[in-house]
Amino acid sequence: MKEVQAFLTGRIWLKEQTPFPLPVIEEFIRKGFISPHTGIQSNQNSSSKKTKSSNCRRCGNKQLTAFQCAKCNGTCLYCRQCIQMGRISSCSELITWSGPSKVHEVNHCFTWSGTLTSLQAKASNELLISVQRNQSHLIYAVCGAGKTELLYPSIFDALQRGLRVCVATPRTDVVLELAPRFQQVFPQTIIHALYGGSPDYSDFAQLILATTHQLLRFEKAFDVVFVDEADAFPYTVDKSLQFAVQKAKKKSAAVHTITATPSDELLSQADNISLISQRFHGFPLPVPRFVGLWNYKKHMYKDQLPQKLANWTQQCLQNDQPFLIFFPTIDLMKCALPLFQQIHVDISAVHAEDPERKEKVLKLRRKKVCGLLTTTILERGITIPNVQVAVVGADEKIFTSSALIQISGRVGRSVDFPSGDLVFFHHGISLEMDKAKATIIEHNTNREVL
Amino acid sequence: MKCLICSSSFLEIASWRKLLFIKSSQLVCEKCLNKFEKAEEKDCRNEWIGTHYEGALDSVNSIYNYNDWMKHVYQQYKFQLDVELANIFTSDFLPLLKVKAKIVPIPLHPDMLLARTFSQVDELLNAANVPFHHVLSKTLNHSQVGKSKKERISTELIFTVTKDVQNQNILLVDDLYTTGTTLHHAAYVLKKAGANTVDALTLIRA
Repeated sequence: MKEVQAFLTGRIWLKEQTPFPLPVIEEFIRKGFISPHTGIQSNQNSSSKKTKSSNCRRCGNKQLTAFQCAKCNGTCLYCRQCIQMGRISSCSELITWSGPSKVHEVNHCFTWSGTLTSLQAKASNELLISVQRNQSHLIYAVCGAGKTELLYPSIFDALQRGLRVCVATPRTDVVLELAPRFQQVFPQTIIHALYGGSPDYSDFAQLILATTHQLLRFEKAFDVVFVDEADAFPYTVDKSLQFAVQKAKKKSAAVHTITATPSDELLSQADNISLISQRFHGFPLPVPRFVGLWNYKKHMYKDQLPQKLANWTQQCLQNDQPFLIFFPTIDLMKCALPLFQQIHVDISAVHAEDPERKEKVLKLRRKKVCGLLTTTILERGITIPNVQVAVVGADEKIFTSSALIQISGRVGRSVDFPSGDLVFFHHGISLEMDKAKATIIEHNTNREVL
Repeated sequence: MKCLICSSSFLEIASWRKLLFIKSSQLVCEKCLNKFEKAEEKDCRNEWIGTHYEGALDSVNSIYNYNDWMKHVYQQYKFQLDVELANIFTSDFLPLLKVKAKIVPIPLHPDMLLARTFSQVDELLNAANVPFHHVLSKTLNHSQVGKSKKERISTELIFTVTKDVQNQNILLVDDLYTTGTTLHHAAYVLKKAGANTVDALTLIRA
């Protein structure tokens, strides 16, 4: 029983897909230890509406697809939104644990030898108090402030109190980066790192790192939830991901958020806020300079690299500095790549669907390639010492002020190279560019006041 | 419109044909559409020369190549059970409406049909409103996957004929042509049962 209990506690799972044989599951259902739920719920709450609406029990999606089902010999509905996790249809069953609750073995150890700056320590304490009081807390800290470390004390405290903790993020890269760091800091804690394509776990973890998407597989599981990069794509636009977080936590549990670029919504939602305007190394944030690059698209599609951009690239190469050049679209980037390769053959490009994405970033970090062209996918989470950054078409719609602030945050992250060049090439200055620059300058001013 | 495959929004190109409902609306964005690869004409029955299945199948045509993109999309359809994707291939099966031969889809084993909840071949035809007849029944529920070619060729018969096919012209429809075992076996039993001609069409050729 212990194994089934450990696996199912807090999870919501397709009956046929558990690591246990079906008869075992059936037996627990008979005993009342496992509750079955229909995969598609129909809501007939309002009698006035004649059309009954249905939704997916796992992801909440209401736009369901009908088909002739051979299994139940009738019309079934199924959900396309979360189909990658195993299809849910009217005749599939989801199960949750409803037997005796699991007692957590509170045997955690916290081995972190680093120290927090006084600003980090202050925010960290404020967060800890909020977590203990179960009030939602927003950590609003500039890029490179050292956000992850200041979570440790709160997480350790919650673990020791026998609470189940989740650190969620919209981005797989962040999960991959955090997992080894957390395991090192909490060596005796079982930690699961969940993302699309992650290994299957059948045991119980008190601490879970997951993409927000993977939280669809949990229900009323967590006492404490942190959402890192809470304003990142696709979390803000995809309602099902916000639903996932709400569903995965226990009803009363507070959600704490961490970001360098909070939306107005995030700012207004939090009970408490800690602001860190300074990077951990104490140097100011690099401020972008605006350079006009008129008709850059036309030139690039005509196989001409604008001179200013070519010069900038050559400058980086001469100084032996790694560089990132951000493009608004994959199309434009692909068109520009051969032009850049005429300057240096090693320059390559990455985008979201690129299977070699991880390797290419690693190559840049190890100085195996001199520079990368990229879309906004590299706007967050990467640290490359001494990197120089240019944005091509910074006035394009995709470059919101948050995106531009995050991109700017790639520069000057290490103590050894606390500054670097940061250029926004544009075809007319946008409001978002101005907003980004103003915000960065404001952080720097706040820093001086401190 | 929202693309059925990548779920990104896309703009349909307006045309009179669409406006007058002659052409159905586009379900897949250009980008996804362009990743499919039409199969070139090729006779791949040679491998069956010299076996006793030789000549059973009069011709085989396939519509698409099994490139990485198709593997991805088809896996989503057949194994992730995303039935709606059958609609992507509607226009590919429309020509079958003019075919005079009896259209016979390769059936699933009843156990498999229950497990999968739909027949991937039937749904392709249903999506295009192509009428078809089941005259075959699958007797063995073995997968062909993982078997060597020799094993595939020499497996015992996997179909029985359940309806009268005397002197009829048959067009078999299947999803994938890999080694041709399924289609050759089906054609063999149909010819034995008196079918006049047996041709075949598959969505994909591996």
